[in-house]
Amino acid sequence: MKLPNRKLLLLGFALTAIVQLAIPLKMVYDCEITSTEGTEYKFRTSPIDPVDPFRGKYITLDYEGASVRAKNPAWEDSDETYVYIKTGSDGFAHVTHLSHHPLDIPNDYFKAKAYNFYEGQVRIEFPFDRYYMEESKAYEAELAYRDFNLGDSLKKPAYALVAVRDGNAVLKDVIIDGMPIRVYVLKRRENK
Amino acid sequence: MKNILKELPELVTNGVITPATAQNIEAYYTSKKAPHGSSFLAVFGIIGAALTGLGIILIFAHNWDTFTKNTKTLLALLPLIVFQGLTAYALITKKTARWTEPAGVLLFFAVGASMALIAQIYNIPGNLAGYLCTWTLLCLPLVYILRSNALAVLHIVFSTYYAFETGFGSLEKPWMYLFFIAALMPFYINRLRRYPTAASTSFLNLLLPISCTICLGFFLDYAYKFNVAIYIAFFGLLYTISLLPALRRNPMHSGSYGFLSQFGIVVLLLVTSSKWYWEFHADKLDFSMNTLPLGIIFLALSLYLALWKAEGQKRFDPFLVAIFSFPVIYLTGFAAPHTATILINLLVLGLGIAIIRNAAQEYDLRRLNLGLLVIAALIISRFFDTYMSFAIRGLMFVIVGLGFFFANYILIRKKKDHEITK
Repeated sequence: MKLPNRKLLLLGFALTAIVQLAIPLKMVYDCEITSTEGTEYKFRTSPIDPVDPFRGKYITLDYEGASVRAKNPAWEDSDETYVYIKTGSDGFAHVTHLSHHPLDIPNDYFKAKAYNFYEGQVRIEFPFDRYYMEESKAYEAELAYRDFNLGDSLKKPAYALVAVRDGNAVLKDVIIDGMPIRVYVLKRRENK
Repeated sequence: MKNILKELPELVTNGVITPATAQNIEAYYTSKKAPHGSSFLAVFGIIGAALTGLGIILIFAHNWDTFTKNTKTLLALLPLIVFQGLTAYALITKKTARWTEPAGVLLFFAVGASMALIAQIYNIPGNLAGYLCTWTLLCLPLVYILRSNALAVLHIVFSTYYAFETGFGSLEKPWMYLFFIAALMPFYINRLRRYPTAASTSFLNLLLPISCTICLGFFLDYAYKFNVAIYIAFFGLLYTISLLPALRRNPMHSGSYGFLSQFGIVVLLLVTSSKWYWEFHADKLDFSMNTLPLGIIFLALSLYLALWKAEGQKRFDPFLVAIFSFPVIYLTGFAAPHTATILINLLVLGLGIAIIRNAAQEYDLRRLNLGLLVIAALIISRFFDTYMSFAIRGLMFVIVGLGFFFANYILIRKKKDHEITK
């Protein structure tokens, strides 16, 4: 292999560096624009705590609305499913339509993966099922939610606050008992 | 070298060389043995950079929720920009590998850290495999731009990690792994050509076949018996690669391919020498149309390399016989599992005997014991699935045990006689 020209080498590095920077910046831009300009929805959820070796601890959110009635199993293993949502009379987001293509309706939508069609219900993997937390708080958050969920059914349900815009969705916060889960965990620590 | 130094006092006493010459010889070898300072520094630089990079990722992974979103975003991009700057500086000022290697490693981890932290700030889900794939892809050009061995090693390690995350326990195939390995080939071949004796090249030689051995499994379907056959064909390819003159010239290189493939072939042949392998699912064809072409490609390439590219085979190679006769025995197994079992046992026995025979001709004690181990392993395996009486099994063990002593003893004596007559 002939040694590449120095200028070419530097140009190659500059291009690589730009792409290396562009990817995280694009991630920031997409999330920031959705977060600030998107419509906020509340999704009823319950959290559990796993860990990612590079990105840290997070709570996985299990959404109540992630099972949707469907007539045929054509949704199984469909990577690009358009999920249309609307806030219902209970104040929480509900799936109104599922489609393989964009629909001409005013509802907001996000793209998700559909899998597992079973007894007329299709499961959807919402693209906002991870909420990263400070490592000591993730497990406590799970415990806090479990305790909170026990017994009293009159309590306010836990939900995820999600901003949706142009097919993108960004998870902004997880709310338990009317407060962000982080604050809820800290308050629980104080009470102990 | 050690032998020469040991002989020196005797040579001086007998007046063969003068004490001054002895001192000179000793000084020459001692100076030759001294580690090359700069390469050592480079290795420590790389290790330091890798640890620092991983440390940064872990510190980020803690998730400092007291920082605002903007501070965190800035923190995510800061190491990336700093290490890009450092790498650019090393490139512009034409620094040596002592600089470019650690700078590249730091940049590698900064890329991963920035993506991880941004995913964390905005709760971007995405599985680990996808994240590893993007990370590896973004750093691939650096291997060539910096001509960095350390980055090539990280590239192989992270490609393997990605393949594992995608394919382990899942039907999904890590297709990008093929691209990652193919993309590294020009770099690897260039290293083999230009720096055949470098330790770093040997390390790549070791890592690459191990990575391929692990990841091949993620491309196979759930066809247990058939997969064993595919793996034997794959080890056949590794074995014929180890016979290539380019690798043969340096035993350290062909060693890693040769050892891994021979070990793999012996272990898998032992697996297939048992009755339960052939009786498992004997009623149905344990077969995968998807992976059949892979097996055929491996065998065809092995045949091509063995016949036209391998270093002139002076003697009969038992491993080549095993590699190419296995597919025939495997097909026989569908019609007559019992015959196949007997044939495989004869094949392993023959393999062991042939290795011993070749070793005896070359006075090679290491290979002699390898051959004996193959036979011993075959007998130990049969211990578990035959209904021979304990007396016969015991006798067989005693015979093999004594065989070890006698074969070694005879070879050592022959070797001595041979050296004397020489």
